[in-house]
Amino acid sequence: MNAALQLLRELGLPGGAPVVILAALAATGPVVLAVLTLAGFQVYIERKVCAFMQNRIGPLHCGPQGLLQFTADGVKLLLKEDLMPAKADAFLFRLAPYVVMTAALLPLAAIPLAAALTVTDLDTGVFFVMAASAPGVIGLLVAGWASNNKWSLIGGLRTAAQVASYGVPAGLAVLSVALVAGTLNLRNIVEMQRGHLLLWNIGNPILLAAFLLYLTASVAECNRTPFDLPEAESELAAGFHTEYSGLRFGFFFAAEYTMMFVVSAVAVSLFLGGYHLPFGNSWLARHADLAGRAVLAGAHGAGAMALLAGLAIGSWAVAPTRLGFLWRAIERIPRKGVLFLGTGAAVALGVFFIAPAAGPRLVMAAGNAVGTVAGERAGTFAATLIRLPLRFASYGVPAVHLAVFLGKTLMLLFVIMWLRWTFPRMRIDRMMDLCWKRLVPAGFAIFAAAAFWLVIRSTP
Amino acid sequence: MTALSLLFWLLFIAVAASGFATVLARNLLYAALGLALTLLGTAGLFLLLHADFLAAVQVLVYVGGITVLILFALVLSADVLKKRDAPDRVNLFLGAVTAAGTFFFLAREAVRVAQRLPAAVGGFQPTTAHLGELLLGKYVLPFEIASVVLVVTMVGAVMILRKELEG
Repeated sequence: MNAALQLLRELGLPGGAPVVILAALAATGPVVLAVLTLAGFQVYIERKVCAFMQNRIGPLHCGPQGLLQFTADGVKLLLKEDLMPAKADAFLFRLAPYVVMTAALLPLAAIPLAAALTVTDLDTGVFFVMAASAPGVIGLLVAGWASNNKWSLIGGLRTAAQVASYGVPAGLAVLSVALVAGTLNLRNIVEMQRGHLLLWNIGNPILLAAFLLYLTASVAECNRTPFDLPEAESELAAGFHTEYSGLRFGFFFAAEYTMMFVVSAVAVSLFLGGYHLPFGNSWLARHADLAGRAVLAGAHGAGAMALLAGLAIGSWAVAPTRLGFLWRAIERIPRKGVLFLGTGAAVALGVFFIAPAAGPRLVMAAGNAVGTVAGERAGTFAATLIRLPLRFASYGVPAVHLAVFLGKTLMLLFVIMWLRWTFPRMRIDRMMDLCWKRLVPAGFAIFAAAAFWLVIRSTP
Repeated sequence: MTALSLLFWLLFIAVAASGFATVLARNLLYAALGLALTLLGTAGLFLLLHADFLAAVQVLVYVGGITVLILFALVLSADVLKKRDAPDRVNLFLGAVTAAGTFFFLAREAVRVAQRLPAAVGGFQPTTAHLGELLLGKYVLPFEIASVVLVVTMVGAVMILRKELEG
């Protein structure tokens, strides 16, 4: 948010509350959009990981290696009929998905994506993350009740019991980190882990145990296998979202994956050094600009290609009904034209990234060669225009940080998926036993050990 | 009207309306959800007063904990949807008197406290670190006593339930 505010000030806009709120929205919007896109992409990863573990191939036909499957799925969810049981409580049935989604997205505000890219640098930090995701349970419980269906109701009840119970060990693990770090502020916790691999919190044996505890408890909080009893399909149809279809079901689905992203991101920040590289942080500081440019160029290129491909596949998915005319128009473009367009796009991308270096000099040189006022002006104008991408390049360290952070988070997400496809579902009573008789005492032991370790460390 | 006072009035309306919904809703589940909204709105008011930690505690404990427990109990009962009669006149009268009295004394006390408070300090000051130092420094004894009381209550509740289950 601070970065957005600074940008607004530089653009010469007046300060004041409305502008602050706009800046907050401007800063939050891209993060939310990015995470929602990532949630879609996670579905693809999940299906591929699952297929790999079951010796299958997985999605293959939509895009290269089935990479665009999730866009087609999204369009499909968007176009499906929105059903509601006749005897359902209409208001609560409609309300529930929004509550779940809001609670899943809100914690993102406090997670530091890079040293200079924290949407809000909150002092309550990790506590805010836990508080903001807490009301989500209400949404799940209400969804189960409003469906007016016994399986949904039991699913909702199981969720409430499970999330309330597993919140205790998760909280204890987080507390241990907060105790050792001496702060709740996530960015400060991450900054303390700067340096190399062993300085991460996970390098401390006590906090390594806390990490495993947190991972277990948060998998349960996300209702993921082996703790997916709220939607145990062999007993409860699909649990609390049995009666949901179309976009409302999509909300629950996206919220689950967003929650997974959030708990992984929190675990990365608390235990795995956040956005810091495992080594070579000083090297990064020296070469940040170059590395940042490379990462940014890659991100822009990948983003542009994903956008183009997404549009193409989206129009293909809805071709027979809505956008048929568009598809027919595309079909009418001869192959040579497609080639031409693709080349054009690649050239434009290349110019965008090469222009900052060579552009203004060329124009100025040309202007000087012509030797007129207009030539000089053109040169100055080009230089001003070109300062914009250069500004981006000055965000080199944040870009690398962001890449490192996302890489670590994706790795942790893979671990969570790995768990899902290798463990069978637990029985409900065993799951509760595991939480209250094993994880909670373990949490207290870790917490006490962390406190003990702090005392020993501070006594010379 | 500044944006802050606009926010205050929006929150005020939300808290008051959901408070009325809590009391007046015929469906118990709606009443509990109204309660959740009231508590959320109060957390918003705390935020406006620059009490960021208190607001987070309010959401985590009251919305994410206590309301969920209430909802849990309500969802398990089949009586939620049963049409209940309007309260009889004696109860209505007693309830109104209690509510009005509580409101009167609380409002009087709030006004008195507000007059004694220092003028608002400009800018937002994070409270978390300061609160932590106070709780584990100056007020460590009351803090520990409160936690012991809570543990005793919890163990006692389990013991009572256990006796009932065994007996």
